[in-house]
This record gives sequence, structure tokens and C-alpha cells, in this order.
Amino acid sequence: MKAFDFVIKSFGCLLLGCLLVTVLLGVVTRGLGSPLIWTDEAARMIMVWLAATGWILASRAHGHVRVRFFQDLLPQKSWGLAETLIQLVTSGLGLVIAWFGLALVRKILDLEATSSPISFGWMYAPLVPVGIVTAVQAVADAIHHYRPADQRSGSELIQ
Amino acid sequence: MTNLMIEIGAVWLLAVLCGVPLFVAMGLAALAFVALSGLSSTIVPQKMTQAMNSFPIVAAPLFILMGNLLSAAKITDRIVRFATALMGSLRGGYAHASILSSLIFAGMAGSAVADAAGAGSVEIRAMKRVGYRPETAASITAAAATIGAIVPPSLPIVIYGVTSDVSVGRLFLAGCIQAF
Repeated sequence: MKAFDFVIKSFGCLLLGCLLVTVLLGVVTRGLGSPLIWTDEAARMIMVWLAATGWILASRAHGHVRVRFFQDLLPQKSWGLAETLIQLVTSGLGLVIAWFGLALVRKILDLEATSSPISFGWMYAPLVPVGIVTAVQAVADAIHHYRPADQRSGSELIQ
Repeated sequence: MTNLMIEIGAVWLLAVLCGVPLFVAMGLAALAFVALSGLSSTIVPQKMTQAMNSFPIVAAPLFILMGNLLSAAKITDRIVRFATALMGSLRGGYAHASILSSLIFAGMAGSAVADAAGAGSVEIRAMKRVGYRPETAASITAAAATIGAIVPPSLPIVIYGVTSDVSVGRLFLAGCIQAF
């Protein structure tokens, strides 16, 4: 999984670099009086992809915010059951996002972006991997809670 | 409509209190709304993407990049040294310097959290070195960092402007008066 995280992080860095260059190009060419028409739309599309990359990284790092106060009041067995249920709901939502995302992409695949010769479907395409990663990560987390402590790594135990 | 909003609010609140991640709670509330109001389900990914599909929002990752660049290039240390040179000789000079360096940093990084994390660590170290109690140094830094949200260009102002459809330029102008 380290390789996967590395790939996603590298992809995020690449997107951030592309975003910076695109915005800079837009600002400079606008200042010179002959603005490029595709920079605004490209920047928005890269932004959506960047947000999706951040979502994937947050899911992998368990960085999504949760209010655990009431769950932590439960006895250990009920806590585990509640955790499994929460992860299953998260997984379900991930699948719903991926499914509807895919449906939307297929629906508008023929629609061309306003200022560039690519399909507008690319704007919604990142929702599919985001949904899948969210769902798989949630299932993995649910399974993780049922693994005996001696089979977990040190960092997992600290978490 | 009011009943529908109450039901959706209840779904969201219940999910949050149960310990569900906030993004899942919001997603569940949105799905509940779509199901109860009979809208097409593809509106969910469409709306999710459209929230990010805004040019002013592009400023957010670039602000974060700027904050990280400032810290990585040790420019933060130079800002703190500059502020200390200006204010250090006054009574409570390091506290004044901390506020001034937060003001300068906020003008570049645009976020209170980036301010506290970037300039804050240098400021606290400097204040502790001259005898400030850690609690006092942390309090001054925390209070000073909040200026990051007011001094233009500020990330929260951009997000607020986009969300509420208010002119970001006018909000920046309002921030100028409050900050200085």
C-alpha cells in the first residue's frame, strides 16, 4: 500500500504543479492583453482532480473528521459493532458515489468542454476512483478491527 | 419543505453524533434529500463536483502551497527576525513582534492555521528564549494567528465569498479595515 500512497501523492504534486502553471499562464496572458481561453476551465478541472486526490489521501490516512465522543462511551463489544456499522455505511456511500459518478460520466461522455477539445465527463471522472477507494478502505478498516492485536503492526496499535 | 429540511437535518445530526465521518454524514443527508424529494440520483456527484468547480476556490491549494514554500525556504524565520528588529526593543517587544510577523505572514499565506503552524513555531521559540512562559507564548501566537483570516488575501474570505455569492474584492476591502 505504500506504493499506492506514493503514486497518489506524486499524482497530487503533479496536479498542483499543473494548477500553478495553468493559473500563472492565465494571469500572465491576461496581463499581456491576449488571454488564453482554456486556462480558467483547465484550472477548475485540475482543481476537481486535486480535491479528489486529497480525498483519497485523507481516506488512506484516516484523516476524515469524526465526533467519537458518544461512540467511545460504549462498552468494547458494542464499540466494535458500531465501528463496523459505521465503516459499512462509509463503504456504501463510497459505492454510491462511484456508481452515480460512473453513470454521470457515461451520460455526458459526448459533451465537449467549452474551451478545450476534451469530454466534459473528465470533470466527473475522479468521483469513480474516489468512491472505490473510500469503499475499499472502509471495508479494510472494518476487517482491521477484528484482527487480533498481535497481528497488527506497531503503528496500527498506536492508532 | 420545512418538514423535509428538519428530517434531513435530523439524519445529518444523528449520523454525526453516532461517530460517522462528517463527509459521510453530509453525504447521507444529501442522499436522503434526493430520495425524499424525488430528484435524479446523478445530481449527487454533479453537485459534489460543482462545489469544487469554481475558479476562486483554485486559490485554496495555492495558498497552502505558498505557506509551505514560506516555511521550507525559511522565509518565516526572516519575517520573525525582521519583526523582532522593529519591535524587540519595546516593553513586551517579542509579543508585539509575534503579532507583527503574523500580520506579514498572513498577507502571504492567507490562513490562520498556516500562520500558527508556520510562523507560530518560530515565534514561540523566540519568546521562550527571552523568558516568556510557554502558555503565554502560545496564547499570544494563537491570538495573533487569527489575523490570518482577516488580512487580505485570506483563504476563509475567498471561500465565504464563493459560498455566499458575495464580492471577494469587497470582502478583502472590509478585511483591510479590521486588520489594520
